[in-house]
Amino acid sequence: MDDAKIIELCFARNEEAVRALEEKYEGLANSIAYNILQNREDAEECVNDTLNAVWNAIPPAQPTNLTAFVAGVARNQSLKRLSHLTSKKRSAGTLVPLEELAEILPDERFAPDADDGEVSRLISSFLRAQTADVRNVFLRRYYFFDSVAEIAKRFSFTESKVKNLLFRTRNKLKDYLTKEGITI
Amino acid sequence: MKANRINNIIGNLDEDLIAEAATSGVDAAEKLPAAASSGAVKPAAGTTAAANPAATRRPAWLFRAAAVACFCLAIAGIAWATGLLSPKKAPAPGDNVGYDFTSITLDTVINYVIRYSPETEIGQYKATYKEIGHGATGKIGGTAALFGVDVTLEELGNYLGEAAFDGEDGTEWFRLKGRQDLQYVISRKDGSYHLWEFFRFDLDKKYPFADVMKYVYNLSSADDISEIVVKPSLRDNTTAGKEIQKQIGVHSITDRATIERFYGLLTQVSLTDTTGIFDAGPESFKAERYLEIKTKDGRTIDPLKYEGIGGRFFEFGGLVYSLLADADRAWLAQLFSINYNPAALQPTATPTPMP
Repeated sequence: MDDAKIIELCFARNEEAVRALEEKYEGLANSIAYNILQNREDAEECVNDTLNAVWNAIPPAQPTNLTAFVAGVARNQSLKRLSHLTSKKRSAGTLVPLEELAEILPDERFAPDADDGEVSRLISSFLRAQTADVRNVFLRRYYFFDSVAEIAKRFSFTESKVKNLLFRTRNKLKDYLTKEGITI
Repeated sequence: MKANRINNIIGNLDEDLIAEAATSGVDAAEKLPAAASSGAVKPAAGTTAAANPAATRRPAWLFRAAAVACFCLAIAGIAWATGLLSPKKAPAPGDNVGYDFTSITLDTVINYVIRYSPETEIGQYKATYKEIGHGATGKIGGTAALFGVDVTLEELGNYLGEAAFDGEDGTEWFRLKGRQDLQYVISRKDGSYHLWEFFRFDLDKKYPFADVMKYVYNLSSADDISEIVVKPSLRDNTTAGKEIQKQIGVHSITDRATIERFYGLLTQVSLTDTTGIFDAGPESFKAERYLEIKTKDGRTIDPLKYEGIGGRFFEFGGLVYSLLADADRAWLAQLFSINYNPAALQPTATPTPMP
């Protein structure tokens, strides 16, 4: 079933939409949730929460890109759950991919007033200027939290190549943001 | 740097980039075959398929899919070019330029067997309700706003109010506990419960909205309204669309004179036809507003929307109300801070076909 139909069914509060969402997006939501939570049971619960949240959000939301919408909800739900589960042990900041990004994005100590929305827009522009492989590897790592090994398998690269590609992309992004006036 | 800040920054990257990455690589393409076409991202300058080493690794079926996609694009291109040859018709007041009202129609309802109630008598009308279904966890969406907590179908039995109207086939209909209006009702048959929201009266009556307010929402005067909340349309959820939503913002109207006049407008409009659909492109959603009417007894009535280019109220499900007078349209445009660029509208020559 295509996304427009699923959204139509959500608007009509037709439960067929829930089945269609499960069929089409359970795998995507599960991969994001598992990457973040690293626990199958937590991930499964998070997938249920994600699909329920999507069902409840549409309407009034009318996403133009359901894949991105579901991915965003899954990511937020998973990070929220991780934060809840580990609040006394560790923060979501210990996710390795986020640690890798910390050194190239604005630091609150030095750039407390940097507009996060503007930084997001600049990173989107930067990624558009890269090849498809570069931007997709970057996003698989930092948006979907894939491991280096998973990315290597997905794109038929060696792990070494993925690491180098991510390293070079981070450095290029850091230079780009600095040139655009973002204090790191 | 705090993790939350990084999450916000990365979490707000452009949607098309995320969609492309979600379907990138061989594994993902197999998991989400139908979504693969939705992730088109503007290519970077100077990047070609030949220069992309990943292209050489992709399986043969992907090339066949690409060929089909190219064919579809060619057909779409021909259709587009043909459209250019047709005489353009500029939108006029009254044209549905702001919203494709046919996107969720009764035809769709029939095709997808959406659960609508049997017609039931309210006043001189036959009313139809639509069921509010439950999600993957069994909780009914949006019920927290009604009951303070999201409930399951079984739990609806705890919220039965007075009898609403006579049912058939042993079905009993109840108002919500503590409420006199008929916006939401609960049905009970053979021990199972369902929650329903008012959809419409019989279409052939071309009923005045005043009767909906009177019989269904239990509003008899402007004094019953405490506040009108005006929200941007949520139709465009792209990054740019969200930015426009943010700029439009949410506004509250509590001034009594303004509420009086607004209520007066609602009493003037009646259901009309849904013909002459125009797709005015992305600019048109700037002129749309989603409305919430807050009542003095704490209820929220939110099906009504306003389409500022055509100048009329509408609801999802293909319900469009009659055209407002020029002076009223101008007043609402000012009240709702409606601002758009008429030159950016993209009217088509023919109405959008029914799905």
